[in-house]
Amino acid sequence: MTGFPGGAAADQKARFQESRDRPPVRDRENRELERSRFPVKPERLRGLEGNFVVWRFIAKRLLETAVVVLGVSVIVFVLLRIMPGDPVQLLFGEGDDADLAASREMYRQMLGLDRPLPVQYLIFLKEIFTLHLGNSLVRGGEPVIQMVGRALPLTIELSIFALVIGLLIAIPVAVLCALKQNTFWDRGGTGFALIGASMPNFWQGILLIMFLAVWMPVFPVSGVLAQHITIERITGAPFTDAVLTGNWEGARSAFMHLVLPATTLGTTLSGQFVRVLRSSLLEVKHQEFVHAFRARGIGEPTIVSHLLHNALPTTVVIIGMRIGMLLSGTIVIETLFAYPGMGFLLVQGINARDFPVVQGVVVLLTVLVVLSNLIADIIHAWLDPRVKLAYQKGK
Amino acid sequence: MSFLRSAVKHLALAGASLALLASAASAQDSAPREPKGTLTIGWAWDPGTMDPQMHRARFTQIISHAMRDKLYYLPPPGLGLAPLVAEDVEQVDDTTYDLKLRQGVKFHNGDELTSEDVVYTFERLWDPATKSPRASMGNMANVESAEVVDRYTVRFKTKVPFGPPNQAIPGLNFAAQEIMNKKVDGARTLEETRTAAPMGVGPFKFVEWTPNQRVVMDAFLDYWQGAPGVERIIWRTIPEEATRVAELLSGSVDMIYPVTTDFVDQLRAANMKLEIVPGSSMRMLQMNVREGSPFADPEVRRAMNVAIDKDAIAEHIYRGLAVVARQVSGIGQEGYNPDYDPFTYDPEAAKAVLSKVTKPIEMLTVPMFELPAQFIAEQLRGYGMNVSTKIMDTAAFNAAVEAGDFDLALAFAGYGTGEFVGAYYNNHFECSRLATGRIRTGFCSEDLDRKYAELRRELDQARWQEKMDEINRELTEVHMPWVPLFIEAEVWAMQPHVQGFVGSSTGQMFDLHKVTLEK
Repeated sequence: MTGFPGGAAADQKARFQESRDRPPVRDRENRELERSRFPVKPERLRGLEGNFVVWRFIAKRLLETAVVVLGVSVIVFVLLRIMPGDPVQLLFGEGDDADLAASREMYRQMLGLDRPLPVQYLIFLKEIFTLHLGNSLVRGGEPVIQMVGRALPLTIELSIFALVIGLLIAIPVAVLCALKQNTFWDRGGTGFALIGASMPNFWQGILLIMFLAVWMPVFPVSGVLAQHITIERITGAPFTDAVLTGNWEGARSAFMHLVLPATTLGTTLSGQFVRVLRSSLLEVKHQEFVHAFRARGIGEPTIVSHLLHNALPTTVVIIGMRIGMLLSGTIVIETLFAYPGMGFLLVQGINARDFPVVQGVVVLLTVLVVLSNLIADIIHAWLDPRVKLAYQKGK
Repeated sequence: MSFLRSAVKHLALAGASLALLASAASAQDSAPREPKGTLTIGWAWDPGTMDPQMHRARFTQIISHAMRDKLYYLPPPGLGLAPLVAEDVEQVDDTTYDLKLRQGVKFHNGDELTSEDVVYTFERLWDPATKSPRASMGNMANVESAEVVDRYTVRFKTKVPFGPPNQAIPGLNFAAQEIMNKKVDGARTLEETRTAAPMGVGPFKFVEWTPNQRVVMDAFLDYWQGAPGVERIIWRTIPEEATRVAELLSGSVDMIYPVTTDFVDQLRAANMKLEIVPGSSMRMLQMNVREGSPFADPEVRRAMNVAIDKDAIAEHIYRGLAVVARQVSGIGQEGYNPDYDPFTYDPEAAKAVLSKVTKPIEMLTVPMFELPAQFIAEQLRGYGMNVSTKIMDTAAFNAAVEAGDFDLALAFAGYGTGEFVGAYYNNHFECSRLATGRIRTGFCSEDLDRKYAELRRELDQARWQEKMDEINRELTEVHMPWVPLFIEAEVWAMQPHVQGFVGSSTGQMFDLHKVTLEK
């Protein structure tokens, strides 16, 4: 027996009063969280807390990146050493030295390839953390950092162009597919996506070259710039540098050289984007707010923009993942179009067993892939408040 | 195909007698002319470095040679040596050679080439601080010193006798090293020489190098053989062959190299000019003669030598862009005898022996020989052998065959210097190299090594030829560690307006100053 009825009513009333005065549950949880984290008054930090959580998230991910880089450095180092064949053997080939074996051995010593593997690995680690990345074994000792410095801006520019082309194709096609679901347009769009995603881009590149550069010479076949043009280097990315220096002839030439490789990459990307964006749009399309918009007589363009705003976060994550792949996956296209970016460099390095070049490029690409995923996550959070909340709750 | 056969004949004659005593053919063409137009060459490579001593790559040397002449070179299309900026070599005693330079040869900055520059070039090459991978090429390890005698004479001293000048010159590496400028290059660090404008006495002056994109060079009007025919050369790096061909067809480049059989018909149909010469790399089946391998038995090796239809490979797989090889010495190479044709294709005789070989055999090769390897494997299976092919990348292939852990390999051996006596024999047959893993097949003969040593000492040219012939025959027909298969052609394709280019068997692009554009 807890007491008489009058007492129970008073108790209930008191509890009701208390619950009215109490802040809402979510707010209360946040305050508790704040108290546990900050010994000072949480109100003073309320504005900063969101930022702090994001920075903590970034710091944590960067720490993870360091661990990933360390792991990748071990893997690439070991893989290169256990692969048959070594750089000196390839360099000397069936050379004209009267005593080829002796010549090779002497050169191997000169390059330090005769040292114990742990020593070689420690040297490699030191080079990563001093951002030197070593010297090429076959290009007369050229510092790898210089080679990467030349190649990376080219790859980034090509990737951005490819991404823009991919999105320019993907967004209208996906919107059309979603709005005209299960019609001829939808099937055509998904068919296009399937072809774009599955067609070998090497073959597609050759077709583009034959149609648009040889039979109907609209674009140059390959390269970065017309041979008579020189652009002052600022970033190392030719189109950007040409625009920054007001070299419009150079900008036009760089742009024309970018079109075919970027289109080849962009159509492959667009196929993947169409599939993701279409399904996200379909999910959003059937939500109540869309019906509400239509009921209020809001125009279709506004509705589409709201649909896209709600469907984009998922696509952004996919784009982030694709950027990583773009940076490392342009190997075939860069070789086909004689576009000397990171993929081109990697192929050169692997073919010549140029250990420092392969190691340096792989480690750098790893960092870039992880960072691009991190940036995609941050943009995702920015676009979708629910994700931001999840970060803040430490989920 | 007839063009390749006539080229073979020409090369065989050139190879039979070295052009050492002849004057430089190129020197005769000195009529004054004005350079015209830009020659754009699309090729597969980037030079990697502008330092002529810090590479081992043929393509780096092509770029280097266009700007820096050497003492000697191999005038295209053959493999015989001829003097370039050297005029003559005199043998002073067994181990001393005096080299006379041409007078009045100018560097791009106007300096005259002197013996100081030649001595500087070789001393820099041998200096351990340079760490040059070219330092021990040829017989360089046995060269003692290079000294200035007078303004135009350099004295080379060797540790051991190198024989008469015609034998000594390849070993002295005169044809492999471009001459540098002591004043200019001597003031540069290694890093600076890697990227700075090369200063040579060659027909073209450096203008610009954008790594992995292009190298630009302009005509040097004071070139000692006369001004070049074109005003400018642009070398564009285009690694993918399909793209190179598209560039040529679209008219944006004037010449491409290399070209493989896959594109020859397409280029011919588009009325492009093709320059075709037999290459300088022997493709052969290497048989492991070590105990436990079916090829330890000489009768099996003999049967292998009559088992392969090489003509069919040259005709159908290479569409006539390969020449059948039947002797260990390659076409145009020292020791090659055009009248020697030891084995005839005889499937019946081959089957009688090879049908008894029951051990499963894996034939190793590299991707570029996948098709001929499959053809050969199929033919051997037809005799009852159990042969499969294994395609490996070049580095992995080299590692596997050098370890001696194989039965059969479709391999290759270059002879870009044209020598047989020297690196070619040393690295493929000499017993002392067994221990260092150089003799892939495991074959060597002390008797043959003795004959080889005698050959090296022989001064009489006629007797030298006899001894060389004997070694070539014994290797080909008696010991048979190889089945010589074919020699692929080196192919350049160009627009019809490109005139005067002659391809070299070594895959080099010599005498570019003779090229003109007749648009």
